[in-house]
Amino acid sequence: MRFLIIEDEALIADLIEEVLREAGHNVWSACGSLAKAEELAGKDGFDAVILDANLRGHSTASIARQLRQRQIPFVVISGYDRAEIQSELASATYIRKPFQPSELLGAIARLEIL
Amino acid sequence: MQRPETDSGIGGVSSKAAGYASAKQLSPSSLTWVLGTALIYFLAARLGLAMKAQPSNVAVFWPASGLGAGLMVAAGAAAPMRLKIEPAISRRLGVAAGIFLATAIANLLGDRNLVLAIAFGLCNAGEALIFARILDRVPDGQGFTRLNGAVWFLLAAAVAAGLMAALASLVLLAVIPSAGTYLSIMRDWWSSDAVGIVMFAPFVMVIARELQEPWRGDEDSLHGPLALSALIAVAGLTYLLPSGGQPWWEMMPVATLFPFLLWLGARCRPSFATVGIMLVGLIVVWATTNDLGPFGDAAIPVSERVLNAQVTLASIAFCGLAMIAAFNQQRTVEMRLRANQERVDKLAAAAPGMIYSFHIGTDGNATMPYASAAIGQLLGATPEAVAVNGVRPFRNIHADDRAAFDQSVAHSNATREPWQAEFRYHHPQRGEIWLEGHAAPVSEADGSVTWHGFIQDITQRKKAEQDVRHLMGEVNHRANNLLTVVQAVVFHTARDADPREFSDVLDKRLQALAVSHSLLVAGQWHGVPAAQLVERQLLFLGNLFGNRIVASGPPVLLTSATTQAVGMALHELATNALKYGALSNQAGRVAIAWSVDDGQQFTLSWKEAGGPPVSVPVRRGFGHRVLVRMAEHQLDAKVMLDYAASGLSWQIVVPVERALEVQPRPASSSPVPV
Repeated sequence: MRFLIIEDEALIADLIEEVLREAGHNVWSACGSLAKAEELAGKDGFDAVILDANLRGHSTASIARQLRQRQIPFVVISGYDRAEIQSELASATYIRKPFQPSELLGAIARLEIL
Repeated sequence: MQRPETDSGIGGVSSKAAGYASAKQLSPSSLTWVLGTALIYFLAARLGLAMKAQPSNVAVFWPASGLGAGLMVAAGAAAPMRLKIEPAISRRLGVAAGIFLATAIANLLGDRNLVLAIAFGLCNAGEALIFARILDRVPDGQGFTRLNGAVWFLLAAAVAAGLMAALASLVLLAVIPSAGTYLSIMRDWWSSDAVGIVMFAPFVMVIARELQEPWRGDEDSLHGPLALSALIAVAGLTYLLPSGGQPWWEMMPVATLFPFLLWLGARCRPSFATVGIMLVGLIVVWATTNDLGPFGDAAIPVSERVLNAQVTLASIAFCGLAMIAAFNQQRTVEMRLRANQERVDKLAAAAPGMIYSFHIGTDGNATMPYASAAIGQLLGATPEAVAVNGVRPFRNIHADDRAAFDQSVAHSNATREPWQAEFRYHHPQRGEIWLEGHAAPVSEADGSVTWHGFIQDITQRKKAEQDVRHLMGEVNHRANNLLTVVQAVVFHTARDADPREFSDVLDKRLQALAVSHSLLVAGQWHGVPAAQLVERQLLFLGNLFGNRIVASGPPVLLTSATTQAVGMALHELATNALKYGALSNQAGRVAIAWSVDDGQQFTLSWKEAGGPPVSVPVRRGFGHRVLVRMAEHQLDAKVMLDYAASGLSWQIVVPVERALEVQPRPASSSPVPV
């Protein structure tokens, strides 16, 4: 699968990228700002998204809506508890930071089943 | 002045008993009571003698008894506190002495001898004392503030007059056996004294009491004289004019006098009613002794007319006193209710919320019989409105809290357990607020329920709770993010570092991360001074910093993202310079500079010089990831990394809104050494 990584912490984005590559996936692009993420989320070229629930203090619920409309599966990762994030994000496949690589890959496996 | 207390006995008699009779007791105050009582009693006795019925020479009433008895009560009542009982007894002895003195003089001026004068004086003084002592022992017997008080008053008058009459009659027959039969003398004496007491004593007692109270105001001054004048006029017409023999005339006294006594009792001070009783009594006695009106019918024997007059006077006095007591009782209840209401209002005003009673009747109708003024601030309603409809304000409860609120009320109603609820409320003026209510249900006799409780505004508390929850969530989020960054640092270091150096490298990178984080916390996440970040990150270089490493730039506050990215970059650059660059020999130098260009861009640079020749690294490791990718990704920075042979240089150019917490001031943009 080709992934778009939306995560504002560069080292975490790199970590996710490394885990995905080692599992045989491709990373189409990565970004850390909401504007850039909204721009990339509207493009083609990726199959799924790893989505941080909060980018530089802003919720990414708008991106979640955009992805749902385009029927693109996504995994939400966040340092917040699921109850604390907006419903558009909380209802998606969710991983809490910090996470094990196996957790991320398990969530991606569930996306593939869906 | 109050007499100083002494325990010294006089003549071997017990100190207190003797003390009352001693000369010391006759202080100016006591002497005043003696002389005042004597004068009043003497004049009243003359009045009683002047109004004897002829030709039987029977006194219809004896006003002196009433005034003496009233003064005796007033003398004791003037000292309500137990500690002042001695002065009170002293005054009573003064009154008794005055009665004795006046009686003796009046009798000596008449046809009595010294023995009878002394005996009658003692009897009259004893009568007043017995009367007063009986009332002393009756709850509220001196004030006519309860109906029981009026009844006890009449009983005390009858008993005191009866005892005195029995004794005085014996003495009279012993001295003058031809004076008459014992029973007839005693009956005449008892009835005239008793009537005198019930007519005149109330006036003295009430006046003495009212003198200690503030004057009530305009109502008395208007109604009192008017009602009194009307009562006297009607009593004069009723009792002084011939009856004409019509049967309906028999009811005239009751029909005409009662409304005016009622008027006096309801609208005036008790003293007006007692004056009314006295004046009506005088009119009746005047009519009887002068053969006028219904009591002057010559066809009826004098003794019967006198008895008729006495019964009439007793009835009028009892009705009047009963009315005074009834209205006094009502006034007392009203005053207590008003005082209680004022107390409740003051407590309610001081309470941090609204105090209320909420009632649900057997028909399901809900009202608030009581609501404190704070209901306006909390529910936007008035106490008057909720007294009629107690449900309407609660229609403003937030829709999401409605069901829970209704359920809490229903549960309390069904189980009679205390009610408690927190709910959002749309206040008509204040908008949405949070309220908290507590109330205890009370089952009423008719099956209805009343809750008594309070409601308070907890908006501020809720906001504080929300703030705390948000803060905890934020702390949790940042901690988790930081742990994930640490996880990433460990992951990448493990990939890139020499296994022999892994532990040392990781330790230093985590320390660099911790330094940046500590500075962010110290600045409460509102920015870190650039100079401070540089100094703290390069602290591990010791005295190199400030000598071979020079830093300069304006005082700016870096954002948390910039602090983290620049902090790690400085650590990687310094570590690299120490191992391979300008700091690896004895001559190399490093210049660190930052600036704000045109208020649009924040530029920070690291330039090395004088070190060994620089070569481009063959592999991109963690350092490159931090210096280039992290700055670009996290700060939207333009990054320049130059491995020039003369020395490595690194520069980032970041949009100022991304780099800095606040816009730098132009005046402070000149470089300052750190």
